[in-house]
Amino acid sequence: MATDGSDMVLYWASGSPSAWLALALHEKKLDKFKSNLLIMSKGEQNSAEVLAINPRGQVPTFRHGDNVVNESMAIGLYLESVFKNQGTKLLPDHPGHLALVLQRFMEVKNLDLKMRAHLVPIMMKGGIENVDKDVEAVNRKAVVNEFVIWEGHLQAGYAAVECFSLADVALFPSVASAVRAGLPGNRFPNIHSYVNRLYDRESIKKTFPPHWANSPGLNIYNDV
Amino acid sequence: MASDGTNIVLYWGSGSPPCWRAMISLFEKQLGGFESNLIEFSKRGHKSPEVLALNPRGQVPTFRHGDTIVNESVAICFYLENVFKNQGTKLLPEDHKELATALQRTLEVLSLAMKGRAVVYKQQGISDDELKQRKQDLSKELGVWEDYLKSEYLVGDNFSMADVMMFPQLAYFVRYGLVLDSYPKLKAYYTKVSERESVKKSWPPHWKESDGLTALNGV
Repeated sequence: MATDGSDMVLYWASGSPSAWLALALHEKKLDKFKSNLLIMSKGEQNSAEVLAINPRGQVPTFRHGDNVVNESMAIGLYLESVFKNQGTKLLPDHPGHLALVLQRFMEVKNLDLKMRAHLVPIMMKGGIENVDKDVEAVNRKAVVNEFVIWEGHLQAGYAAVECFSLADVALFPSVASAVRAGLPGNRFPNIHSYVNRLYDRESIKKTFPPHWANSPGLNIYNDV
Repeated sequence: MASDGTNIVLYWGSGSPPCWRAMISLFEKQLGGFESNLIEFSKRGHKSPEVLALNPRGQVPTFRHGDTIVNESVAICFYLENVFKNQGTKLLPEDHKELATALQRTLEVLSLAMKGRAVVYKQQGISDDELKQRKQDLSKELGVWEDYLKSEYLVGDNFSMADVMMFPQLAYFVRYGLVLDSYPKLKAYYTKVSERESVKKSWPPHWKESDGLTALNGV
């Protein structure tokens, strides 16, 4: 079994929650994985190559030697389990800290689902102005409520405990994209400070979405 | 640190798959001595001061082990398996290939759950066509799980965390009117796992006292 990731293949999509698996691989020093960045809008997630490993045609899709693991959270837990002794320790040993990391790791799903529920109708209809106002208002309230919860969680500087963990691997891409989409720093200073600080982290610099460098973010959250 | 669970507290609601997952895990890990607090959703028991003190989101399962709080049902399952790995049933395999499958199936149950909720908790105004589509999506998803069952359990021949997750979901669907005749392997799996000690001990109390529902008829 290689310990540099050279027997691993990851199919992922830039800027989406699936991007954070690439982050996890760098944290565990598995940098040599074969990285297949897919363009979702071209339907590449339904290519024969991806479907062969993931019949659901979803990303991320991951193979380690002959072992296939789909489902982003399963992949994160798999990597930390198999490679626990190398790279950053993403799950603490201390039971109390482990509990908090596992909980926050799973809690991120609340944020992702609410962001998606709010954004998908906007993307599909080509702009907020084209979405039913009442529906948008309900979804917006839900997602803002969720940002408030994470603003509170990030008081201590990281998602769960006092150092970078699996919970941060899951959380970072979502809050980074929220900040990019205009989440205001005056109302959410902890989230802003967290995102700006983590942009200096090696694994995050290496997985920075390529298309973000060339285009501005959508102004979705400016006036929350 | 062997334990029978007497320093563990669980707040739960009868029939809720996330709560059931946590309870099955507790019994599988021989932690049956936990303090069991049954709440009633209809009386907003999940928003009581006791629950909110441990879980500001006001959701169940809400769980405490000594001073350690763990909310999120999947986090509870992983926490218990990690902290009590040397007692009770081994819920995550050592072999990497089996571990990969166990972890994936465990998290995949969440997709199955979401598709079920889309039918059972459909909004008032949805069209007949939309409901029909959702039922078809659920049926297709159940077909995927029917295919996954190549052995006795979801990961080979050993009961694992994947089954801890899957069984409550499947039983919940059956309670809501899903007929398993078109899914023979799921039907056999359901019958078999229903007899497991941890499942019998945690069977939703109110299911024994009342009839099931019909939202999933025809799926």
